[in-house]
Amino acid sequence: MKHIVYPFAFLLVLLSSCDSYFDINQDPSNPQVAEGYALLPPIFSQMVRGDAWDARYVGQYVQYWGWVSSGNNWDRHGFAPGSDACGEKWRSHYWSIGTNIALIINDGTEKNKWDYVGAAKAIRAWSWQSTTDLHGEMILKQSWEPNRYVFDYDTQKDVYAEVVKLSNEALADFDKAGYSPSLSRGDIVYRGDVSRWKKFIFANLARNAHHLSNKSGYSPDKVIELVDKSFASNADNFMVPHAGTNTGDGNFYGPLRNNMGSFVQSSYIISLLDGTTFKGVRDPRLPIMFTASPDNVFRGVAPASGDPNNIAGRTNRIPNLWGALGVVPTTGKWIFSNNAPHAILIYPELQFIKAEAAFRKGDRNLAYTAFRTGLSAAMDFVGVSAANRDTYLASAAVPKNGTELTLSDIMLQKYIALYGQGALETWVDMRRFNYNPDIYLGISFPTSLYPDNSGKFVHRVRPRYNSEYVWNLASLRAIGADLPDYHTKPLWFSQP
Amino acid sequence: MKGFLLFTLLCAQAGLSAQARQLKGNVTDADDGTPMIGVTVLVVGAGSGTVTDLEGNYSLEVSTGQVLRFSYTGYRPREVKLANETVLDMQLNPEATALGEIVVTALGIKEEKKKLAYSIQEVKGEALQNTGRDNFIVSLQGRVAGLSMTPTSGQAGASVAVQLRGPSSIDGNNQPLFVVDGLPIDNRTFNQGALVSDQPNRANDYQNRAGDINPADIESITVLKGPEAAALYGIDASSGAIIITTKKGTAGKGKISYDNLFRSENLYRFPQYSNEYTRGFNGSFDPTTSSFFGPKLPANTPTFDNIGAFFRDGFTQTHNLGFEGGTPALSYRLSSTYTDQKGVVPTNDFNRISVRLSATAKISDKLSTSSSINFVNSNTTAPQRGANGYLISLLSWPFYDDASIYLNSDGTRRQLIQSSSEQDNPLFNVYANKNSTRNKRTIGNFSLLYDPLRWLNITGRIGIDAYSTIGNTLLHPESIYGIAGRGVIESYSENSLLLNGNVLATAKKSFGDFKATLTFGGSLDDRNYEVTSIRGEKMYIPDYNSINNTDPTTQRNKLTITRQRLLSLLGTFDIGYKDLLFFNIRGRNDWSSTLPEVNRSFFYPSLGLSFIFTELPLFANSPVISYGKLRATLSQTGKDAPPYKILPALTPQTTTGGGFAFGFFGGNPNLKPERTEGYEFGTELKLFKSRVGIDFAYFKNTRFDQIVSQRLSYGTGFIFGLVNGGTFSNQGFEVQLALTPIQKKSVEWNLLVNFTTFTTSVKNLPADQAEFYNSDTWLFGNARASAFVADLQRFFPSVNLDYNQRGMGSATAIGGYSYLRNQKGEILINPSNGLPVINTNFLPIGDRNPQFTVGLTNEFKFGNFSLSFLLDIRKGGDVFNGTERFLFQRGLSTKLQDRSQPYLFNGVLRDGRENSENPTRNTIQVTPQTRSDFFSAAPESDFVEKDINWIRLRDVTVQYNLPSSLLKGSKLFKSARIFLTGTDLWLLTNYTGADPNVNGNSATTRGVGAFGFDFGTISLPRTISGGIRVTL
Repeated sequence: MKHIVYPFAFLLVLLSSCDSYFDINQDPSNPQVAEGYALLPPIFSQMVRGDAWDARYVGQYVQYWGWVSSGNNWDRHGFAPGSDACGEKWRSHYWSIGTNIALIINDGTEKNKWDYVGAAKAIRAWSWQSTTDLHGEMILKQSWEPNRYVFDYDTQKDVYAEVVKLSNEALADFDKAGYSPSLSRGDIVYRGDVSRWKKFIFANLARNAHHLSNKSGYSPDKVIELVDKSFASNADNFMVPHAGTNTGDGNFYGPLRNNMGSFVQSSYIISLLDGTTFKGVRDPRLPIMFTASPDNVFRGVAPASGDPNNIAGRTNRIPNLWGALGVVPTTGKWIFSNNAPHAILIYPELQFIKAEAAFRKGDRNLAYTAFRTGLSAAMDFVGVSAANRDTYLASAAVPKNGTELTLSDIMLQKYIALYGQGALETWVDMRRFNYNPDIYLGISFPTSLYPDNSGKFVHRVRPRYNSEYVWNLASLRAIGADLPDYHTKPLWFSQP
Repeated sequence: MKGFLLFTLLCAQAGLSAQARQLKGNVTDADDGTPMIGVTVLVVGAGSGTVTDLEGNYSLEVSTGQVLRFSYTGYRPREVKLANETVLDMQLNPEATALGEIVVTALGIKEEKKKLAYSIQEVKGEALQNTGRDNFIVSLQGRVAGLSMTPTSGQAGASVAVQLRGPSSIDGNNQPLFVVDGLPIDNRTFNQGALVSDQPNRANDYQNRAGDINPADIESITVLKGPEAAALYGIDASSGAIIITTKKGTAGKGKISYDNLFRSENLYRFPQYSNEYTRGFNGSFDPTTSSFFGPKLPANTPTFDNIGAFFRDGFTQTHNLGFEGGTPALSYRLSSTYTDQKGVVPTNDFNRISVRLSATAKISDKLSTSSSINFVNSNTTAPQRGANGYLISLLSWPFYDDASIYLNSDGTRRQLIQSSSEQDNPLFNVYANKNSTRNKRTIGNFSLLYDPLRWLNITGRIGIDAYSTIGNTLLHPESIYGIAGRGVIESYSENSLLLNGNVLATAKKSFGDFKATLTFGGSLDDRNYEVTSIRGEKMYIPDYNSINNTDPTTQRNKLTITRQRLLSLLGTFDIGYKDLLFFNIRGRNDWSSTLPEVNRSFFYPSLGLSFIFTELPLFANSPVISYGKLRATLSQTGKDAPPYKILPALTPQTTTGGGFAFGFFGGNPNLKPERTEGYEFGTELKLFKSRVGIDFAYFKNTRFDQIVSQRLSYGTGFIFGLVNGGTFSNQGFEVQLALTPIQKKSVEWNLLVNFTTFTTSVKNLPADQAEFYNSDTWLFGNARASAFVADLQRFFPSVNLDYNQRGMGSATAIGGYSYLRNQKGEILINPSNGLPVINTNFLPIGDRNPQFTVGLTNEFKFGNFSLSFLLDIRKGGDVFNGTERFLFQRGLSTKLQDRSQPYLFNGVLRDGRENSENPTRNTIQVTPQTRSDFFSAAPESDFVEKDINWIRLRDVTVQYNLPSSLLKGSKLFKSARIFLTGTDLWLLTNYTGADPNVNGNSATTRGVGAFGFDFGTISLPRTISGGIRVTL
């Protein structure tokens, strides 16, 4: 009897340990699970990557800069068919930020690291917000579902609601009781300071609420309340650092990575800074942000016209954004240098949001206070000396009180404050105002727009080509995204 | 003594007739004269007999008029009517046709062929050894119906890819399982994805590991072609199995055998190129361009045969020394082989030492063991091929310049254009750039056979297959491939360990007319594979080949580890009624570590029926048909996923702050295994006293749920998603014909014909895509190895697909660019330059699958001479001639010699009116001499050569056995043989390039592979070899 039982018992033991025998399907040379502190730093870089890569093109839409030669498709409110240009935020949102966020949330939830979970959700909420503001309809409900290869699109309204939901969850996560904070170990932006993360979440919610300014349900009070809970000063800015030593860790806009060589400052931004628009007062930010031609005159390119004097030796040749004439220097300037941090969201913008909200509400005094605070902070941010800043604030360029303040003042100063890395947010503003030249004083548009526009201005960017147009075309057809003028169709947020 | 083989009968006293006497004699093998032990010598009708002893001698009481019958398994029996002799020697011939009685099937079991319900084919090891090839897999082509072999190139140490009955997975491993003595061995070919530089397996080739098996050690090979192989060997055999049985020592007097082979090889087929035009552009001479669009070469300018001067005659020598012998209780075989091959390309060489010791011991009446250990050491130096390689740079070197001068007087690289983008001189490429691998491998196989009861046998086997490889590549700082990095050295260290084992218990029982066999067993496979690769740039000393000679700040390394385990349990039940009807059922359950836990275990059965109708009384005395079988098999099998795919992997990031983030490839926690369902039915017939044998098999295999890593919407969260999907099937038939037109005492002629034809048909592809391709195969221009669905029109509703029918619905298609056409099928011409508009969708432009292939083997024996030759014939199948496209785009093609004639493309202008009733016909003439853009106007579809046929004389062998009468005097030699062999001597084909049977990637490429893509690959050289074989 014993001789029969023993082999069976042995077999049973063998079979029960079978599962662990096969549990070797995790790659020992590349981790497949990691802790939050190892996953967070690359996510910051990908946030920057999406914004920086796409802001090149959006910067042309808003006329921050233009292509050095004339007739460029993006200058003309068009796009590059069959290419992934301006599809980098799509890629970051779904892949390089997207799936890694889920890993941080899972890891944090398991190990009670609620600060990581909160930070992860905050980033994802920010990513939904800024990506939908670029593209409109996105894949929301079916996103990141395994074993699926056809993805339906959801409306922008759904995405906006998701932003609010995620933000609230993140705030609640930060407030959970009894966890030991460890966020500082991976957080190269706020060094684990949870209060700043919460401010960032409110900043994002402020954008979310404020973008609906054309809708009847828009609540200025709500917006003001959110702004007040967000950044308190430039010290709270969400800045992602760059080491700047090699092409892997340098600023995308810097000379080392050499991506901005064909872009040149626009005539519009120059007109705002050299006194043309603002009653002849020269903005002290002008020499810091831009470089004059050899004849000491600041110039920019007219929309879609390029620089006709882009020939060596011409004294009216416009320098590139790094301050050099036609060559790539070793160091750039301002946000165009190798180790300049990238600004994801800054305090001045929030003050201008508050100013606009108060203005719409009718509270001119509050609007004026916020306006002046924002303008002052913006000049500090660029690095203007306190003396020059105060001189400018006292000059004729700046309204003296709430009565003199116009919506155009607010939007133009916001336009300058967001120059470069804030192009995506500026574009939201311009689309809310439908490119109104009464707000954007002095602006002119290309005479020959991109052919497929049928004369209309651009209002959105098509989803990334090699992700959606190649592999998900049926879903695009269902929302009309395959039509040639789809990029001119206004987004939900700017509609009443 | 004599009592070991249990077949001793007593002479019946009553049977003795008058004139009874002692008869004695010696029985030898007719092939090599060795004495045969254990041959049954039977007096027909009298019930008396004996067996031959250790020296082949027998002694028996006989009388005149009796008939003596000599028989032995695997040999043709002989009968002699006795006269008055007292001494009768006999020679027995081995069963020459492939339809022998006993074959070694799965798991090392010797099975009677009549029980088998599927087509099985056997090749004798000697046939493979006679071809003198180092990689025995190449010799299988033409000898096995349904087997298609593609060598990667004609270089020494090249890998070989094998497919049985067509492709079996569109993104998985299509190679069959290689089994040696009942245990699988590793057949990996190194994949460059493990290198720091992550190359796509185009420029370098590495030996496939099954090629390490020494052909001199092979006794026989059995090929199992369909899913039934998996029922016996598990999912690794779902593409079939090649089962190798090695030679074992035979008991008897010790024998020493020595044979050698000396071979000369010579490349004789080259791509044709034009030597009329000089370097330049648009008709003007310009020595600084790499294209040849200049004026015609002035007459009387000396030209050089650079190709002829570059290649050398290769030389190989092989020496085999073997010892075998033993007693009935313990027999052994020790064989050692040394091969040294210098290939036709300078610096290409391959050498190998293989030592194998095998021993069989009978420990007791019930217990015996058979074990072997094989050590192989092989080294290869292989220059780069393909776009980087010597052939392309030979063709692009101006033919009016002597390419053999490749160095300046100061030892630096001689350049003609002084540009960093100039291709290397081919000699500079092979001498200055280095690429080598050194491999050491040990295969151990230990088995125990236990017969506790008469009807029960338990066999256990354990195997170890361990190898390590050191690989090294050096790109010289002056070479085009090393200039950017200022000299690059990359090396890798590869370690693989395969531990496997199986246990089988077999019970046999007879119940009256029924014979049943029941088998239970299990097997285990444990693989550990690890590669460490390191790469450095900026070499300090230009020629010093050591990673220490690179700048430490540029050094990068990469670690790749894969581990996987497979456990199976199997059961089979066979039942046979008399010898008439056999039925078998098999079931197997596999557990694989590479699948998610929920889908880890999967079960697949197989059923077979075999009906030997000649056992019916109806056929008892038929003069025509002596053996006839009808058979049918139904089987299922599966394939698991590659390791680590279920969860996506995190890769290190170089952005500020470092850290990890997910890589491109998504996982799939619900991944299912691939599935195959197949059936086969056929017949075997032996007619006219086995002078004619026919084996016919019709098969269809359908593959479902292919596992692919496919580009998808980023909504998956990744760039590539891992999905199950795709269904395709292979359908076709094979015919084997074995004829013995002449069979006399000293003259024999055997003919074996293998005929194969099949088609693949794609029903749908994963993620509902129109095309599936492997990016490794996209090696030149816009043509790649693809699978297309049959209803392609719904993916391209507005495109005219009339000219893209070839390859539609096929898994072996070529996908690429073609001409853009209007609805009527006319080519559209660009009105601004008169050149055709190219349709930049990847559409089917060819199908690489042949219509049929035939292998024809002829063997003649007259007296002590024998002659055999193998013809390999193929009809149909398209080949992408990438080399020709390269030549055409460079201005070196022979296709358009007169460039001064204006050329008019026949089509309509793309001016908006192309689809109207009156399109504008093209009238724009283009003169190639002054319009060099003419040469880039042709799409890839123009370079697909269609319906390529070939007849190859693959192997020819002439042998002469020294007659035993000559050797009897010598006390030293027991047998001796001289032979002369030629391989790949002659090729007749309508392909305009060098050789249509090459592979654009190596054997490691997943999926259907890049056979039929010819770019920068040399053809198979012709070889002549000779040698002697003696036993002492």
